[in-house]
Amino acid sequence: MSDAFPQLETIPIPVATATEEVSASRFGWFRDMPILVKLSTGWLFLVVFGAIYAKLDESVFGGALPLQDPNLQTNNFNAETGEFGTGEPLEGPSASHWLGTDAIARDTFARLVHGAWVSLIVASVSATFGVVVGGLVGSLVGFVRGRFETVAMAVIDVILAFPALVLLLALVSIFEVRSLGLISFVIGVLSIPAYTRVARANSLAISNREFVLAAQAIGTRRRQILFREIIPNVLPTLLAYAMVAAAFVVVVEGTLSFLGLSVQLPQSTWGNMINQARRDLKVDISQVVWPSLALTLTVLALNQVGDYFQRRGAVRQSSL
Amino acid sequence: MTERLDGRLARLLAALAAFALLVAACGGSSDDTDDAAPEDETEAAEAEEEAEDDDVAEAGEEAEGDVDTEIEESTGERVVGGEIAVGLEAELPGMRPWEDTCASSCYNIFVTIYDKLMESTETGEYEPWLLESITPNEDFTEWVGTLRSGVTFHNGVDLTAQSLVDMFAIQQTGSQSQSQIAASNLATVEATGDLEVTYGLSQPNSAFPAYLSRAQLGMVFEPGAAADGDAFNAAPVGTGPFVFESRDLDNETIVTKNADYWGTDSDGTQLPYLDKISFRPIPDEGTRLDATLSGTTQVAHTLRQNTIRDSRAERDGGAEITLFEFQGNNVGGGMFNVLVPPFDDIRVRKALVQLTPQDQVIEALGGTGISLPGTQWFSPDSPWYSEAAAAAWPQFDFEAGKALLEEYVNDPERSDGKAVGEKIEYELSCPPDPTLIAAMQVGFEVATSTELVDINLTNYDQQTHINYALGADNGFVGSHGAHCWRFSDDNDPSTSLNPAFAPPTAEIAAAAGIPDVVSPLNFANYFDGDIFQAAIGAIRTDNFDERYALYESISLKIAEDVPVWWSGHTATALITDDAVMGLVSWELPSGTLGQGMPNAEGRWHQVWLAG
Amino acid sequence: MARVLGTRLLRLVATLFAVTFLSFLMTALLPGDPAVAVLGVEGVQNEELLLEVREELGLNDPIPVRYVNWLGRAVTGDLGESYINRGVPVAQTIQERIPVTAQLAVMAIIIALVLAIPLGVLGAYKESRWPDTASSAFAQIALSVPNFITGIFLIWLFSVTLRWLPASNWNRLGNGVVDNLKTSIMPATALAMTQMAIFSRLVRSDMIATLQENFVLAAKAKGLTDRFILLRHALRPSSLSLMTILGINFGALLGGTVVIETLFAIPGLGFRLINAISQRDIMVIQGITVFIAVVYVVINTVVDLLYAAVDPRIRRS
Repeated sequence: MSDAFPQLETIPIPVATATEEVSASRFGWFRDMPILVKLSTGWLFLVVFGAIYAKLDESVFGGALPLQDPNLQTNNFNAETGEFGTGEPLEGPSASHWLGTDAIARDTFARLVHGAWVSLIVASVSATFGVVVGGLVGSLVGFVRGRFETVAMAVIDVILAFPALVLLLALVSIFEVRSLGLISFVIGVLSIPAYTRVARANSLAISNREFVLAAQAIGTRRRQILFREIIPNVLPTLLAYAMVAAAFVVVVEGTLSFLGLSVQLPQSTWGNMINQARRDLKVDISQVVWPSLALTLTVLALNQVGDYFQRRGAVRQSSL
Repeated sequence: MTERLDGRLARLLAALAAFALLVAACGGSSDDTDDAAPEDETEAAEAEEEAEDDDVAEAGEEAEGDVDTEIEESTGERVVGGEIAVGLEAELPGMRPWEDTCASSCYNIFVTIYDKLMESTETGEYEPWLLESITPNEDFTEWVGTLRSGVTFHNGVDLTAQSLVDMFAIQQTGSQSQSQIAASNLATVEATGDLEVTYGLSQPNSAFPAYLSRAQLGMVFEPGAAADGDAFNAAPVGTGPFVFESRDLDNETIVTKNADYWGTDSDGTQLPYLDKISFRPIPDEGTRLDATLSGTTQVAHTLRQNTIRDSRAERDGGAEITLFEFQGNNVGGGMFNVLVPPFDDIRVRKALVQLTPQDQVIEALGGTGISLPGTQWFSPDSPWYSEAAAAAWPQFDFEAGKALLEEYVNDPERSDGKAVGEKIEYELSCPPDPTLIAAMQVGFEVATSTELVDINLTNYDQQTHINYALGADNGFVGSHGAHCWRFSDDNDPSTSLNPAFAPPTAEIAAAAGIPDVVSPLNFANYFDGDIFQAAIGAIRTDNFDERYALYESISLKIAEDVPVWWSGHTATALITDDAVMGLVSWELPSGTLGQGMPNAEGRWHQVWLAG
Repeated sequence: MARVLGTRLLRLVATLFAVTFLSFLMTALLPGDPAVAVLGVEGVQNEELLLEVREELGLNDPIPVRYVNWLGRAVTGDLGESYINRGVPVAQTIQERIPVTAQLAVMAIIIALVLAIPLGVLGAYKESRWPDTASSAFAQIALSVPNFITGIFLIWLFSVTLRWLPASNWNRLGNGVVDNLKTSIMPATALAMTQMAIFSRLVRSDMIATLQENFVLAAKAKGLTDRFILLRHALRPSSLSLMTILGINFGALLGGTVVIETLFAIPGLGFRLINAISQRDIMVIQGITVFIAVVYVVINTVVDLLYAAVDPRIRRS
């Protein structure tokens, strides 16, 4: 969403505290999950599996599942048959097209599944950038403080001072050909500041904890404290945060796609499916509904799971 | 007459298409009226033409196939008073006819504030509007016009021949008018009487009156007020039926009734009928239609087939709306940059046209049953349309297209320098509009299924799209490969054809022996000496048959060399609340029925609200 | 505290410099020639004219020089003139559009608060019981629907299907409050939903913490009614963090109305920005970007200071 990155900031920064009660987790992590979190995890696995299957269908799975070609226009000329197809644009759901067809008679279900690949890649890349770079920098500055922190946080502030969509639009429009790699990279880099802030806040809090103060008091080397005490304690919160951040990143990519500024056609993304189907809203709203639903459910699931792990992280830390 | 062209003339002509092509790229439409008719018919037609007198005025036409653009409009009792809101496709850049680009949306507003010297009729001829008469000399180098008397500008200043002379001084500095002055060969404007004005041309132009019906040279503004361009932009002054009241950029432009307007209807009732019109830019197609359906606006303006499709469905489903549709020459499609491999090879161009399933493209545009397939610069309804050229245009033929591509790919001398057997690679770019995005993927699908081409689909915003096609930084070669574009308009063919096929670069001009003639607006960079000479020849005569033959020869040559390709002709419409009347039945001062709403450009002075 | 204030202000100035320079740089790097935008396609055939315009716009100077020149004028409030709508100062454009975007943002926040506070209080009061579950679920869903999707479905429901509200456009407040509300309620609601979710979660967790504090227990012991305690005692401390988040969100909303304004064709800052980007109207892009960034930076600094003042633990000297 346009204000997604700022929103990353507006989410209360998760700082590990011991306020929430979650039943102890020594009985296995899955069995303890609330039903919603289980469902969410299930959906996310489904999305990830779908995305990977769609990507590797031909080469690895050899078409084991009946997933259609997402780019086949069923009313267009088909080189294999040498004839025009008999499909119709904007068809309703049927046995041959589970979710109907889009404006140029392509199978909506196949496009939806293939669209998941883009969301998956963008979210994973941004999380990786965020956790590795943002996590390191944030932990470091939160622990070291001083001038280094001032400078680093000033840089972060500058990046965060831009309305995210403007920054994205400008950056993305500088590049002429927008590949999935490029989009992921730009969004990934832009994710770093938010992770840095979270890592710093946690690092700050942990640095003030008794065991760190004690380590300092007995003269443990700072580097050792950072890697032995700070980072391992920042990481769980950061990973949980990554789930929530991924939810926002999926929305950001959806927005870019919606504005026609994400990956190149004919690759489907949920956002560009919504954008294209919006033209025919009056004729057939279902073509807007499916990608909207996929996008929303995925964001919801990421939020659920992220929240759950944040709460769990809080408990674990309280027992330190 | 010498066939070797005066360089300046040609360059001037080259300038002309600017507007049409610019707007074309923007998905808009052209700025003016209808098919130019041969001038010699104009005056005869004037006498013959009679406004339709029965209860139903008809405009539009029953086009070929199942494309239906017929409009019926009740011409019952006129009602004076009332106000309407009109939703337009885009905000206009500014209010100065000589300076600001004026596309279809803008034209709707401009005609309320400014009167034009000439106007086009139902049959596409040009008749005087603010002028009372205009006559050429023998070789079309001098045109003498007489102004209507007793007309005053909104600020109280009287309109005289001297006003037109002073206007010309300002027009010569305006970026829009300049190119029109050049293109029309206009050299001097003199007041040869109180109300008599003489236009001197540097070269013959039999189509000159067409220019006086366009915004850039035809719309009359108060030259005194226009001396300060910025102030004028904030408070424009014309003689038109409505007076500018206010403008809230991107939101609303309001005009109110000019109580002192010179015009009356055939019953002698003072025009305009309406008290006030609010024009609102609503870029989103669906939203604009919804606004009219929900009564927020009374009129929705559109240049999109799928919006027309949706409105028809709404109307047939019981919504109380009327569609004023118009299908003009303007045609969608695209162009190859013939200076860039592989498009310098005619085999590739022809193959790709043969691999484009035109019907499916039009379906993707939402234009099935709405938009006529394009085969040339003119629509089937145009007097300039050529059956021979239509027959010559390459039809969809997968095997033939594939064979041509194979021939190129296996040619050791292939122009793109790749190894024999390697795939052709190019970029196909369209502006980021959902409709164009759908359409571009249709052609993409078939072409790539030959497994002989790799196509990179890109969508740049309009400004970038135009800049790439223009290529101001590389001698106007441009950095595009295959590009979505729109061509042609409903003006005299010379106004758009000539610049589009003049030499595109200095080298080509030099090679053709006309070194000064370079047209950056030849975006496809395609040059053919015969086409060029035919285009020049066509404005040196007003004989329709001669001109027709020249334009037909151009269409045939384009069908042979395929520097461009066509999808469908642009369907446009004003979608109105059922109560809105008078968009079809308006008349010229002579009583001749006007041209309706070409390119969704309404004439609002005789619009009224029924009951 | 004075030292904290000093550093923060210093940092604010440095940030402002960096922000202005970066946005200047970014717009300078946008593809496309501003001179072409100024002249229109017709004008470009004349190469001398093109060069002249480039010179006039200072496009031939090195970027640092252009930045300094631009900044010098910007601090006096002169953000240049639009390339496309010539003669219109960028500062004036911004000034005209602030009321629209600000109104949207304020309305969104009000709608968000009106929904969020009852939901959050209810959730905290009935912690872990069904009203809590229901309100949390609602917040979760609201948080997860991207606002352009909310917008599309609002349009579909209220404009296309029910025909209750206009699908787009904007009636300025001057045209009457009711007319204005008709055009502003849908976009504001679309914007508000995510904010609502954030607020209600915050209110809920704050309230839960507050309800366990001694003074609340004392109030309970005094026999005060639940409602009285909730509204008079418990909500007040919660509102501090709410204020903080609200501050940050206002800045975010200012920049974040871009898609909603585009979707609903609302003449605000964001819509102008999107148009300017596609028209390559560099001065407008620069002006609006910098304006939004400056507002955001200032608000962030204020919030940071508040944060430091409220939570002394973070302030380690």
